[in-house]
Amino acid sequence: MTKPILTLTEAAAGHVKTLLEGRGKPSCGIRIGLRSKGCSGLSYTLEFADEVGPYDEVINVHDIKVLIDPKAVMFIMGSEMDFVEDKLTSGFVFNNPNAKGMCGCGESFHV
Amino acid sequence: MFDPYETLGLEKTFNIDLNVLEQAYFAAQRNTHPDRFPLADEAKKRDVTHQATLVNQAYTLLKNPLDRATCLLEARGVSLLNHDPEFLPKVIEWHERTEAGEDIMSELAHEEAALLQELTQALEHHQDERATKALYRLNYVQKVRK
Amino acid sequence: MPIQLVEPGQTPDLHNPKKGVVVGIDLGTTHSVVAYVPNTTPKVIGSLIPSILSLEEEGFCVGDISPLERLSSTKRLMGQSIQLKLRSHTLTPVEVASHILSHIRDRVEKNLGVPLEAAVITVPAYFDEAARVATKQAAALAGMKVLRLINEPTAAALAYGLETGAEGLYAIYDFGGGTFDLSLLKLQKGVFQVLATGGDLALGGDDIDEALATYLNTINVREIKEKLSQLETYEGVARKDLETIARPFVRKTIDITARVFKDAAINPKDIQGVVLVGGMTRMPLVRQEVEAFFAKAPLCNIDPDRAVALGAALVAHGLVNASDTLLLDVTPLSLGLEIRGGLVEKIIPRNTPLPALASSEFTTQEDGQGGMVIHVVQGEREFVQDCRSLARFEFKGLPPLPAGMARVRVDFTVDVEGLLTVSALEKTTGLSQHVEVRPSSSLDDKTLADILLESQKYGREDMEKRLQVEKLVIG
Repeated sequence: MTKPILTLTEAAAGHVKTLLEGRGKPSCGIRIGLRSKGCSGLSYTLEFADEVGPYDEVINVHDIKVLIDPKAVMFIMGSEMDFVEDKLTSGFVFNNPNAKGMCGCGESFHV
Repeated sequence: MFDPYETLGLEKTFNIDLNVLEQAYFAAQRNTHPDRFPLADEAKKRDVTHQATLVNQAYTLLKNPLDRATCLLEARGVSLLNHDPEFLPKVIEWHERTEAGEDIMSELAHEEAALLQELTQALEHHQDERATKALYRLNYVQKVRK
Repeated sequence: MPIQLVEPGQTPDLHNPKKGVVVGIDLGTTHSVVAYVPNTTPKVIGSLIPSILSLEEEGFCVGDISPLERLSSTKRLMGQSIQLKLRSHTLTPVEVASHILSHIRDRVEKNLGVPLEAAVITVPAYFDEAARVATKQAAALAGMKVLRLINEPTAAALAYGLETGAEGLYAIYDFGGGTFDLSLLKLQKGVFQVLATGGDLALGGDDIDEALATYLNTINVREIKEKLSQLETYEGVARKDLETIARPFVRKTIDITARVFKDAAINPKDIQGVVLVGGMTRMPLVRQEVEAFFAKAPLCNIDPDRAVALGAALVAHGLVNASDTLLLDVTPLSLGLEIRGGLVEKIIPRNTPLPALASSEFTTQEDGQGGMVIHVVQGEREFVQDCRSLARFEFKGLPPLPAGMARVRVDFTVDVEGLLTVSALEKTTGLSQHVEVRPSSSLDDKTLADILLESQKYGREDMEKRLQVEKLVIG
């Protein structure tokens, strides 16, 4: 069986659904992208999606349409998206078995 | 050498549509105005500022028919007149009549219009001698009118 | 670091999660205003800020706090090196302005929760070089980055033009607390072109207040003046009396307006509209005189107190977002050089489109003359003593040549903000240096920049260039 491109934890899925409902306007789903910035090179972006982009990879997880920017597909392969909460911050994280190093602030990674 | 026509990308003719001139001016400024380069370093800012001053000079020159004529003639290496002995009698006559209290303003206006016609035709037919003469006289008449 | 789910395009910058804002600031004589552009429409941040500085227990405070012991209306002193007393302290007008700018920055950062990255600051169109430089110095003192300075009437025209989409010839009549400006602009799609401008830095509501105070023998006249814009009488003062006092000042603004139109060779009746800016334009007499001059009712559909700041915010926004709008301004005052006999030779006449360039060639009077002095002035008068001394600088170390052989070409550039830069090139040796001129602060002889041109031999390859420029800042 081929490895799924991306999985979502229950917590992540729950929070995404809540945010989609609270957005205030209809959404197609969420889009995961990639951009190179920061001290370690790469980082993910997470946005509400209004429409499916022509080259997006589309997966359905927990009844959520997740669009993945083609640039990100290769790196995100096999990752798990989770939602974390601690005293200071809360938000989504990607546990990526491919990432070899994390930059000090945890915001960017390189492969 | 500074060529206002080239700076604004215009054909070297004496008759210019002032609207066309203005649009060419704005287009040139869009390329070089310093506001277009807000994040540039000092050297680049100096550079574009200098370019923009040339665009402004070109526009100011080409707006004025006499300056335009001067540019055209100078571009062709034609030397301009410093004096015109044939014109002298008229100049003296105008002085005398003004001293006598006569108002020659409307006559000067006519003279200016006629000379402008003369200049236009001379330039069209590439008659340099005729053009430089008309230009010299026009400059004089305009000065007097002020 | 966890990631947030955001709207498309709103992913925050990494390592710099709080992106700053650029603003437009109207540093007014009586009130200052700050605005920004959140989406496409400019918005004022907070209310008008009184341009008043006082010294309280906690330190310097900006606002209408102490009725006595305050410094106000210092704008018209910008560029002058005078000392103002505030309790036991002395401050220059630049320092007062820097306190106001600091206060503005605090207000922005508190209101918007993001740092103030940079600002566009407005100045009266008629501000001379010294006052413009002083404004930039005030910003530097306050730790504020200035994208550029912009003339107040031009800013107001931009606010008006972008809001209404108006095209054609428009006059901006800007009558504020301390200064009067009249600018004539041609508005068209994407281009705001100033054709001519004029003004008076010592003509404003404050002067009318002073005259009214003398007449009534009382000091609290501002409220009376403002109420009489709506009422026929107030506190025993009739509007007619106020108008008698104000009339000579208003006439002066009309005279200046007439001169600007003469400069532009345009008939005032041929314009599309005249836009009113500044608090004084609320006075009925002003509106009547403007209407009479232009033979059409003035346009009051922009907020006269906020238009300038809104326009400045649009300029700031345009600069950082690579806007297509062209702002073509002119220099308000003629630039000249002192020549023999204390006379002025104009090299850049007023109303020349900016940026502007003028070149002059100088040579030596005597054999072996080692240097020369160049005195730059600003103004319309024939004699140097009646103009504003801008800079006096010396060329030293000219190659020893017979009289008349040295060729020093000096380029004078006035940039889009109205600031002067001077470049000198000694042609025989090919040495050049460019220097940014700091204006003279007083009328006595002070050398502001020494340009040392040294050469050991003729011939470029053998030359060792050692250029030293000393800039003395206004102290």
